[in-house]
Amino acid sequence: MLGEFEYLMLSATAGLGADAYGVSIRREIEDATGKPCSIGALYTTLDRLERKGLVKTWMGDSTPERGGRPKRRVRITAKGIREAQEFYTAVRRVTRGVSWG
Amino acid sequence: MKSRGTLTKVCWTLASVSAEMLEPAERDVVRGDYAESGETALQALIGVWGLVGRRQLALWKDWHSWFALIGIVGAVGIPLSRIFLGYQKVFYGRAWGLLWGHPVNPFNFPGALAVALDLAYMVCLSLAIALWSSTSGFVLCHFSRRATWLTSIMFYFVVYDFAFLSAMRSRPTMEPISSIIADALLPDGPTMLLILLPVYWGARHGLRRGSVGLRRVLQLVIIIALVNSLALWMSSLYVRFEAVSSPGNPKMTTFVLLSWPACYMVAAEVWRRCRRKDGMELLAADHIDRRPPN
Repeated sequence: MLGEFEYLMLSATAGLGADAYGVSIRREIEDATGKPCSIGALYTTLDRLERKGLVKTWMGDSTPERGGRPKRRVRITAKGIREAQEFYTAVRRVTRGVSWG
Repeated sequence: MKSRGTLTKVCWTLASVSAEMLEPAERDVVRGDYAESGETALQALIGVWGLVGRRQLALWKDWHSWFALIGIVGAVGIPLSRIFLGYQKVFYGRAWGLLWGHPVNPFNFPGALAVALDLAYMVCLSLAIALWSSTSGFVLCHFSRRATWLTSIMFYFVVYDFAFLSAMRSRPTMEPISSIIADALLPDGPTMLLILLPVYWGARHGLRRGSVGLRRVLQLVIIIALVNSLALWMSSLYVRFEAVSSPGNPKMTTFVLLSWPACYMVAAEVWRRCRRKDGMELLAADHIDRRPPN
């Protein structure tokens, strides 16, 4: 089963589509949670997701706004979509009827 | 305003230096991320430290890092520390004696031969320490790879401080803590170069992971064996003649332990050769099988 932060990363990646890379995923998570997202947590979790076959990453083009440095682009795999769907279904099932006020 | 600008510069410099501990590709990406995200220098520094810390911790899930820690930092670092402490204690006395024209004669018999013997032993021991350090640096970095930063720093502190701090503990009166910490952290003279430079040289070759060459490694092992034997024989003279201010009386088992990294280098080269030979035989067999039948 996915961890909560792993699910957030997969969701952000799926939502961003072709624009998914380190900084954009981090911004997406911070906007959604209202809490800072450290690059340490981001890249170590990204490595873990890639090892599990849930995402694929590769080095993208460098841009002037990044000082000519490349970005690490991310794409969710079919397996990643399945696992995220299972997590979402499980969360919906377990919270059915629960009211958080 | 000026101090804030200086602090920002310092934070960016520290962040950049800390990022050197990351893999090259990740280092570029992280630097690019901070350029794009517009975070403050302090946030960037904390972020980089967090990532570096996680990466370094993850390396310890691999047995290679533990092998480097126990096999080199522990098994070699501790005995080397004891020998080095004894060596340091007498080195400066010998050096000053030579400079001022009053060479030290620790033996009971007078004459130039006694002084020459003492100096020869110091030179032999210096060479032995440098050889042990270079082979240890090679094997340490060959094994620990990305954990090299941490294991190298630990090796430095163990070699430099282990015996020194053990000696501190056994004293009847304690020196002030600040003095002990300063002595433990800072190198106190040129003798430390005898360890640092060879370890650095060995580490650079270990990190490249290329072949050093079997002949070169065998030559190194032979030199180490000769130097060890000479140093052992000479150190026994200090006991026989009841010499004062001896640089220490290390045992043969200590010398053997300190030489194990050199033996590992030989074994690694032989293994590499066997694998290369097997690979070439497999290629040749494959080529023969593929030839069309007559």
